[in-house]
Amino acid sequence: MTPEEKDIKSKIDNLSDLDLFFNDSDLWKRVEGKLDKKKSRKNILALYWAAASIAIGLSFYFFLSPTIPPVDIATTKSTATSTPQLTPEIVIRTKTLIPKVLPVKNSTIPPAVMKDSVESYELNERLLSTDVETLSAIAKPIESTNFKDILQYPVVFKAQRVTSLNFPVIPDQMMERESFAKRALRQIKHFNTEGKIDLRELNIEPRNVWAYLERSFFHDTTKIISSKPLKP
Amino acid sequence: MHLNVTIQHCKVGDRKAQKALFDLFSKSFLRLGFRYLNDRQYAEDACLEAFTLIFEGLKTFDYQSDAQTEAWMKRIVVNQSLKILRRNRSFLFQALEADNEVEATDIGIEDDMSGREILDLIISLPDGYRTVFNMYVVEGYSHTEIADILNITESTSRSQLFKAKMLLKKTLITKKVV
Repeated sequence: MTPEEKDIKSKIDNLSDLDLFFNDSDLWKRVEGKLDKKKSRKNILALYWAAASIAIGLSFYFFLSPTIPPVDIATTKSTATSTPQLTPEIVIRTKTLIPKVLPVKNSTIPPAVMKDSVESYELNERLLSTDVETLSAIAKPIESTNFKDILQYPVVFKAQRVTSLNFPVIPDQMMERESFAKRALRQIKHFNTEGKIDLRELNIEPRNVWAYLERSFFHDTTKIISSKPLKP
Repeated sequence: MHLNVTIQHCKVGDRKAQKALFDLFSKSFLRLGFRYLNDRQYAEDACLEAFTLIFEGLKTFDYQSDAQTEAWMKRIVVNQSLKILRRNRSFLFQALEADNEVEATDIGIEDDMSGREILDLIISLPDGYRTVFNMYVVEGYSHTEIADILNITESTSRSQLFKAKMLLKKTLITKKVV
């Protein structure tokens, strides 16, 4: 840099009469406004991010938690060769439904045994559903026991519901039959079909789930102890 | 308040410290922007953008000295000014064939000329000349740095400086004659 250039630089650096030309208080307001805007935008972004993550979390939660027992259908061809195979064997397995059992003191509960069933018919399919329910209606307090802790709690029985459906074969309508089977099992469970076997005779209509109900009953009660006190 | 302390407060977003830093440098930065842009409004826009970037950048800035901090901030202002210049106007740089004689040119500025008079001369230059002249003579960038920032060749930078000086010389001679 030449001496002349250095002189120019120093004169420019020390220039101050230009300052009146600018309104820096107005400029500061603009800078402040922009900083505030950035800050609020960051806050909004953080809020959106939090909301989005909650929404994603909830959707995953609801997506992963099953509302009805998922039906797993495995289709296998029969190995019988003497007669032409008319119907495939359909196996429906219901997921184990374990009822909420509150912690029990000084007692061990045997694990509930669930039945998976495979049954085949020549022309019809038989679907068997099992379910476990706590029969609070038949709950009784333990009368004769020496254990102090157990005396405080009533005894209930856990029952296994067995439901059989007898379906006609509808060729090329596997999906429809599957959804119908789901609906039937749900409806039968919902209305508590204990002792309603004869309903089949009264409801021979197409698409009526009761028409295909073969039997439904409770089976295999297991004694458990509930922490809920009995109502007088 | 020392610059170091002010910067420490600015890092955590203290509005008072930010105002103090703004008051300390706003005038010189506005002058700097004006020298490049020759427009008050543009200069203010450049400073606005520069201060926003400075306050953001201070969060990760490593303070070493006042001079280093000021140089860093000035560089941001210059970059913002160049950005506005690029956005609004087009540079026309022409390379000279002979580069060797470029450096030695003397403008002929007399000692009694005030800073304001010199500034008026500088801002009267065309955009390309003025930018290179400001960067080389006033800011002290090398031709390599100027070429890198403006995305031109070094010889173009030298020729722009030479032309700027020639034009200033011509203007000064004309003024003296008048």
